[in-house]
Amino acid sequence: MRIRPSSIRVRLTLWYTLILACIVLVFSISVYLFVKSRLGQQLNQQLDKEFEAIAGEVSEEPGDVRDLEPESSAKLFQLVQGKNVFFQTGPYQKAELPEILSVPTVKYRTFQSASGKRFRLITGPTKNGFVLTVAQDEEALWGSLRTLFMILALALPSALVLAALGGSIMAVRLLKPVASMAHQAEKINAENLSERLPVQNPEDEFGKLATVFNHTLTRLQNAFERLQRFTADASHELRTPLTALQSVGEVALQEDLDAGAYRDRIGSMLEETARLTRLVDSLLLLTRADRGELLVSRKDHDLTRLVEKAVEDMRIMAEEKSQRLTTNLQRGARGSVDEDTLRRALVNVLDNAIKYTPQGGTISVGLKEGQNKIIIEVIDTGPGIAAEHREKIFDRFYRVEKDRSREIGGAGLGLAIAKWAVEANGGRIELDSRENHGSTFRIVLPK
Amino acid sequence: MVKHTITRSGRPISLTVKEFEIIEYLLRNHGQVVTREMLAKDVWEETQRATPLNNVIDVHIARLRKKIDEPFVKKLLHTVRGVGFILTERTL
Repeated sequence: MRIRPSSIRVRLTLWYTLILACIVLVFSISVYLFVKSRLGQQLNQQLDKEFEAIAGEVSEEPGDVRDLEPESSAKLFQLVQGKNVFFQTGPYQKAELPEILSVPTVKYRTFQSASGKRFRLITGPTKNGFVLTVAQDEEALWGSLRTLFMILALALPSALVLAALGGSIMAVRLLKPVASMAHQAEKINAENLSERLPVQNPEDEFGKLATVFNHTLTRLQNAFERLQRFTADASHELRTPLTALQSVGEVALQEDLDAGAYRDRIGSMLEETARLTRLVDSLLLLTRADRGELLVSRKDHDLTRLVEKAVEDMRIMAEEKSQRLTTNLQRGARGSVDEDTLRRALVNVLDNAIKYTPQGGTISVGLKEGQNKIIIEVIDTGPGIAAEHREKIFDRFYRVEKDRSREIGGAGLGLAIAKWAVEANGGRIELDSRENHGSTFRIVLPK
Repeated sequence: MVKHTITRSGRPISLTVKEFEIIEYLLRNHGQVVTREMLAKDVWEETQRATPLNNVIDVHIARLRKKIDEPFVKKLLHTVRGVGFILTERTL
């Protein structure tokens, strides 16, 4: 079974402890091996010294050795002469150390006696032909090592327990902002989207996270407010023709009219229905565009022709208002666009310009080719758009002067649709305007 | 600009291209109500819905009516409110 600790705190602590365990283990093993090697070297040096001393004595007076009683020496050594043991000290015999008769290839070796005791032996020739073996009990060395092992074996788990505790406390402290952020975020819902997470230190990682989260909340809040406004506006726009429908119907029923008059009332109701249908169609178009359901198929088109045709279609509306509609179009500009969609954008922008330019005003339409782009401009001599409205002019249902616009007959969706239509063709729509100095709508399309 | 001329009761009437296309369409459907959607689709070749074309159609029809009906007592081009237009000798 795989263990998957759910909380980051536990995971952090486990990782921390695990890494520390590895470090401590490596460290302990290193210390142990180092100490063991040092103690072994020291023992060898001691043996060397003793060997030199005994070998010296034996070389000077070999006879004296023979006189030595085995019991009289506390040292562990033996002398071999010509493959025969010449002398062994008492302790040497007692420890049942081996009879090494010739000089072995390895200088030092360890011997374990039948009783389990370990000895370090050094064997070498003396100047006068003996083979001398000196031994040292390794008990002291192993004792030290055992103690060291015990210390390390005890220290390792205690260090780990401390590490786990410390790590856990550290993780809790570290993750405290996360807990408080989660707590705060939990309280934010559709009703209080304006609330924000506290940012303690905007420079650290958690501060950055909270800042990013707050930005997301702001965007969410804006989207939410837009949606609410949109719903309110849409309901309002739908309500006007519905109210008219109802009142015309009610009044007609109460009156005693002839067939022609009834037909007229029904016609009036159908007009309102047509208004409703247009509005719903526009809304549906925008909704489907939002959902990405409207696919445009861009093909190479003569943009000059397209602009010309849109202008000619709308010219009659300008004529009705005695406006001059002039064009300055560069010939033969081509671009990859969806004809119907772009036409719709052009017609909507032109319609907007004609509607808001006063009687006798001028609207000029220009097209010029730039580097990698085509710029279409619709310049009017209308009232211009104040800065505070400029950004929102492409929003749905946004109107600078609500009542006047409704009189003119727009629902406030024309420019929103134009914006979508231009963007669907890979372009962008811009507005340059100064109050009382007219407006310029600029459609920039990629070539 | 290319102009077209039609005659009513021997009297020549000068029309713009669009006006001529509209009257041609109305004549083809003479006696039947022609909706704005039909005109948009067949005369303007506009397939999309909810465009500003409705107003454009109304203005064209108004001008056309002025040319073909104003000098005469008998009106031929009628508006069927809420539906569209009809070209007929019948009085509605």
